[in-house]
Amino acid sequence: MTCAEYLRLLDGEDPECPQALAHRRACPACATAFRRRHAVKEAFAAMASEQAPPFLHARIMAGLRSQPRARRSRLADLLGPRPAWAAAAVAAVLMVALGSVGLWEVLGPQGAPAPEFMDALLREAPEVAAKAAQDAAAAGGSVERESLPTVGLEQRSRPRPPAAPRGAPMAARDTVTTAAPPPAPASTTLSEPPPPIRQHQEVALPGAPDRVAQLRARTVEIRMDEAPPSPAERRAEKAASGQPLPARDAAASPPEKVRCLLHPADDRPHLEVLLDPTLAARLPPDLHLVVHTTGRIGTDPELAAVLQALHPPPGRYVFTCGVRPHTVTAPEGPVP
Amino acid sequence: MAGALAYARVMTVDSALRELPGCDPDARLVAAARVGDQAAFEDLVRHHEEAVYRVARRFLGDPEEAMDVCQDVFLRVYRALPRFRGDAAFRTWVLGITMNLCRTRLSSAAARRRRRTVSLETDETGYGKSGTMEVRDPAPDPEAGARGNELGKALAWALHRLSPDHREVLVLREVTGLEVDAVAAVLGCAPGTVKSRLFRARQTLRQLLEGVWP
Repeated sequence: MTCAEYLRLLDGEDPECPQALAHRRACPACATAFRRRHAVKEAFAAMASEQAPPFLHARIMAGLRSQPRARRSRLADLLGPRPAWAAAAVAAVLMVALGSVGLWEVLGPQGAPAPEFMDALLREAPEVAAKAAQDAAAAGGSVERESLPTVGLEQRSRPRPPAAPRGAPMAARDTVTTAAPPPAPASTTLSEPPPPIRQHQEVALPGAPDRVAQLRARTVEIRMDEAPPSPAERRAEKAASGQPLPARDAAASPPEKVRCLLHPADDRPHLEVLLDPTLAARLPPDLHLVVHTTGRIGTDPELAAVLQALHPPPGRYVFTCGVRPHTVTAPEGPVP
Repeated sequence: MAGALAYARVMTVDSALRELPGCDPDARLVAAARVGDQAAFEDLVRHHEEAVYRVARRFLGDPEEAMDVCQDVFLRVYRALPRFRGDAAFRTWVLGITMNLCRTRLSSAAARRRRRTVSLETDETGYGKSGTMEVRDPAPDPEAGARGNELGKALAWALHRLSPDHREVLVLREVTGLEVDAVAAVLGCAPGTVKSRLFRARQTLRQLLEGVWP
């Protein structure tokens, strides 16, 4: 066996054969190559034992909670995954059945589809409902999350409105609304049940997942706006609301820690989280904030101010928000 | 010979179960998650998030991008779970999605811009483009343990000099510990192709390391 043959064997998947072993014992260069290969294998093993960041799980789950969930019927669950040909087969069977039984059983007295049939269609085709929601949003309206169930365990939504009478127009019966929603209340309290909000936003603690639930109770609120405000509008809004916010009703209600504005954008909701450093001073001193959003979060100086107010251990903190996380460094020592 | 063969075939019970066709240890959780059990889905995430992170981390070379990919992967898994037919193991399916997203991210303009910016001075391994060691940023690094030695740094540097095709097979085989057949299933190619790429990847890696790791 030559050195070239040995190196080929070393780079391959096959185990070392007796001839290769004999060559390695006789050839110092190949013995060195073997040792290096073994060391590289151990270095790969070290990479394999690398730990993921402690807040990775919380971040993944926060992303999942903000997603709409596809609805499936119990029958579909029992049937399991549907191959592509199954849809064609079902369609063919339906066509034959409708042709033999008669369309009068499906159509209403005026020839329009009966409400029961449309309900069944909507139940079995969530994409139809989603499309309707998108159309409504594109037309300037808003969509209640209730119509698109989400993964969120702590998801809160408005109570389901009473069902419209049979035969009412589709737009009236669906949960898609075209009018701007009323403004959400200014703050939430820990002692009383929070008012209905449109979507729960998680505030997670890296390295201390057991405290996530506790923070969830303190919640944040999300207000629907028709369009994202410009920075000038935002400054004006802040000035008009008399920042800092606790000054308004500090004695009566706990401070509002995080305020979120959810803007229905063209393709995906744009969520903006506004953190007020003066409010953060009232948070527990051992709190480390990681705010998971699907949009963008204030500016880095704001986040740094929050970190300073919270007195976290020195280190790098990642504020996860959409595509690019903001990394903020907490300084050493207490902040005056 | 027999000893070497035995060494090559040693597998944990878990990996052996994963290798067996039709015996997916995640099957129960997948079935529960498909009917809306959120706790089961969270368990699935918990079981696989580390593997997904490691693959993305080593393929992309950027911890933050790897976390982005992790989030995207499980979003896609969640959306596509009703269509998961169970032909392959759940882990294989998830890693396949991971590799697709990693490749997409790698080819995106934003990622190119970001990598270019980093490689002008020094990359995350501390080596410059020329292969000379440069001064590392002393900022705290969460993966300092994994890169605590010179070989670890050199290996991370060399890994990112490989082509994406070569890097992905090496990461899946060496970092994730998948067998060749499983790597082929993840990448959707023949086992022979995987073996050939692994051979070329190791050859290139060895040559790259000769320059930076004495």
